[in-house]
Amino acid sequence: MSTISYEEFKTACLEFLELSKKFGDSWKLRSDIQDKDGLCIHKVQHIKSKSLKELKNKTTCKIDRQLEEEEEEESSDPAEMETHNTTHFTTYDYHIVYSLSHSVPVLYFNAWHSSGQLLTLDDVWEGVDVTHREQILSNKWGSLTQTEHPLLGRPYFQLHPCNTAKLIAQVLPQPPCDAATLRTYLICWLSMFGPPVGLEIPLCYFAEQNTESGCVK
Amino acid sequence: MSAREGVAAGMDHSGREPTILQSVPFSSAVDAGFWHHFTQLKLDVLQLSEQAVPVMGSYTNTDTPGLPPRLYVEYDALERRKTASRWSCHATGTLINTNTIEEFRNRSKQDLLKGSATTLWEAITSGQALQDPSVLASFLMFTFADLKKYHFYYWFAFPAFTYPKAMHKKPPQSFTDALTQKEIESLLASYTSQEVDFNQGFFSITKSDEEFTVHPLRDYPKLRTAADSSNQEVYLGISDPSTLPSNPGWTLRNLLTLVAIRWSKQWQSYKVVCLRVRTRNGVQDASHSLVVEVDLSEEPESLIPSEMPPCLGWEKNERGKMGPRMVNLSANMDPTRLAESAVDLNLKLMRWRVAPQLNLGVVQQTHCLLLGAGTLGCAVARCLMGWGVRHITLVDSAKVSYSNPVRQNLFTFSDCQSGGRHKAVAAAEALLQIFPKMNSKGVVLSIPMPGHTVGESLLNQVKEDVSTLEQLIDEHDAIFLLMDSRESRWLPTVIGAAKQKLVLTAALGFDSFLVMRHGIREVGTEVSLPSTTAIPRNSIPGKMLGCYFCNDVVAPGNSTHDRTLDQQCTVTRPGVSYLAAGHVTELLAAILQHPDKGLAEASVKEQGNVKEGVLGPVPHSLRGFLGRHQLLTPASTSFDQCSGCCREVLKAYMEEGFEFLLKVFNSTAYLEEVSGLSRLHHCVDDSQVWELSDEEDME
Repeated sequence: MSTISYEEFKTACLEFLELSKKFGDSWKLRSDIQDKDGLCIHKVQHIKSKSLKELKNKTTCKIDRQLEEEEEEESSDPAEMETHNTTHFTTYDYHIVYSLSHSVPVLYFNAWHSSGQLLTLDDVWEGVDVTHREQILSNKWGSLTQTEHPLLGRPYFQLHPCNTAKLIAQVLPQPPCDAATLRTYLICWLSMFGPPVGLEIPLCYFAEQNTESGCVK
Repeated sequence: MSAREGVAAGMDHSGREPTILQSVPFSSAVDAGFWHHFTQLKLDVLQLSEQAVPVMGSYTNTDTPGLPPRLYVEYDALERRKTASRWSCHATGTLINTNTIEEFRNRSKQDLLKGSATTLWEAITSGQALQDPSVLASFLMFTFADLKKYHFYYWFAFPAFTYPKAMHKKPPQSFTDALTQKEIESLLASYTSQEVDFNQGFFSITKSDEEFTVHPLRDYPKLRTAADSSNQEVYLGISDPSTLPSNPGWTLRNLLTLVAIRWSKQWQSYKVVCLRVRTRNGVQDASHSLVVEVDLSEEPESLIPSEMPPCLGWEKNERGKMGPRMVNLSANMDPTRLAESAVDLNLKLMRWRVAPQLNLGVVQQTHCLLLGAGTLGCAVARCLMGWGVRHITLVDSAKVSYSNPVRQNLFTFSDCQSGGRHKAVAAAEALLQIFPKMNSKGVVLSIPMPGHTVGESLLNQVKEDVSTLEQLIDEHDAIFLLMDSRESRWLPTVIGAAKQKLVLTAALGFDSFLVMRHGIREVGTEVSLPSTTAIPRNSIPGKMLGCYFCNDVVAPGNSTHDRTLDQQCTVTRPGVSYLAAGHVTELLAAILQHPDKGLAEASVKEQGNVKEGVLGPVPHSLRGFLGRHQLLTPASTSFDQCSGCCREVLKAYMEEGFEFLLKVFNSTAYLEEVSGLSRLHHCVDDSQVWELSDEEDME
């Protein structure tokens, strides 16, 4: 079993943030946490939407049409490029938080269409890519569910942490002991839990590990 | 123009028509968390003020192709003042909120845009924009927040001007074609070094030999003058949010307006670098950036406008029309909805873990009538809520007294004040406090009982009470008898049997309890009841199961005479009520998950082999004995002379109605007559008769 304490989690996150800055990645500390002891790092990613399904939101349509101005239509401006409805994208906001009950990191995320409309749990299950579909969906409620974000108190999707310690122990048999190994722990964890929900880790993060030795021999 | 540029122009003149440079407009991207902070701001600070609020936006030039250029408003856009990270460019924004939808609709969009554009124009003409170029990427957010429904209306505008007319003779070139690898790397190195303080969005670049250096935007005239007489080239530069091969992003427009206003007297032709950087595996690559030669000569220098030119820039909505966008965040922000979906999700998780075939809907939609809002009533109500039941009606005539709150878990000390609130009402309200979406109702009603004579003055009230009770039983699917006296259970038993409702009884003894489901009788004169001598071997079908009174040979009478105070109210071991409440709720759940529902057969033997539902077999009754920690599940048939459910009694009730009931209320002897119990008594010898009712006094 490979678990870490909250202090170790904090160290791992801060080290990870350094790497992120170095590689031009956009992980940041979340600044709106009320609990001063709570630490959460997050990253926002925009992905091109696969379809125009989000336009099916009926309630929006009815109200918006009333507000649509007919000839407020500015005379078409030659210097503006026509965008032909190519403006649809989905935003994913990934959060890494500590799970007290399991003593491991947990991945939470939320996703919304370019209109701002949040995705539902069914949308998210639908969106799991082919490689991970069977793994996640065979155990839907136990792996990917919606629950209250422990620090923000709002519904977020969550990858359940119950198997985290076991999984990591298979890859990193030695418990982490210093900042570098804690960072490795976090990266290893993220590389397992990120991809099923669309979060990829560039190889450069892994390459970094080899340049630093682990614990004092 | 320098000789060099002139030669270059001449050599490039391929006879192509100059075309207008087209920029890609921004797409707004608002973080879902932004609306939470905005709501907070509105409630705490703004309230009804319509004052403009500064909001910070950002954009990036690091996108992968395929995504539209986005003006991003993050969750903390109202609190932050400057962008924190390196690859993110700052955009100054203003948020104007209206307080009603009418205002939002009627406010002149032209005026709003003009207001925003004026600020921009002033920054450009005064030179302020050269000191802080991020104003060139300014935006307006026009909003209306409906905080009851959590609907947020918003409309972005990215102000720009129709001046100047920016042309280009050649299509923009990508870095791959225009620069060498070494040059690209040099530019990137200068761009990413922290040495020179330049605004990330807008800057100038000098090139000498193959070395690129980035400078602040305001240095451009100085650099270009110097370059004209030396071997350098000078460029304007933007961090370009667009990823298209031939079109820069919107921010170039305002830069060109600035350039035209301030420098077009000197120069009409400009080389612009639209810098785009992609990070792959930690390595930066800018080869998809653009270089474009912009020609402002179609705007004669004499016509540099002294007044602000026409402005534009409202964002189209998802349908491509000129209108606002709306996002419905009630599922994420409305506390009542949050409670509802959390409870719902919990139940679904339970189902997934316990029994995937569980039908949660049928339990949630069962309307439950709880007769008695005391120890049992409160506990049963809470258990039912745990199952997701949404309709609960509680009936009780009593008020909350000082001894109640410790045992009756919906009441608190304050409910006892001023004589005490009515239990039924207080309980119903407590349920709403627990879960706002409950449909809970409290009815203050006194249930008439056999053997409790009805005086003349009370006649009308009692008649009305009976009618109310009949209606309540009619309107609900499951009736729980949770009162504290034997005889008060008689009337609802009869009505429930006549209406073929699902009736469940729970009764407490000092350290024992009884929980049972009444059998569901077939009613009507044509029905011939099977002889009770033909007792089935292993199981009793649902329609032959007994009711609470089937095991009695005396009709329920007035049990309150000659009893001390502590015998009238139930005095039991406190845990017993919770045991009974839990069991009766789960009994309901088991019934509802059984294909035969209330007609499910019950096993005669403990652990017998009977038809099961998703939650297993459904017993007839449960008797718990706390002293010995024992739980039995006996089953018994209906009694032909039962005072509560035998054919004669039901017939008399259905035919005579209140008349019959009144006679019973006034005399239990009458009830014994009708049911046939008195005949039974006469058949038995005068010798000592063992009471065939339960050994303990069940209350």
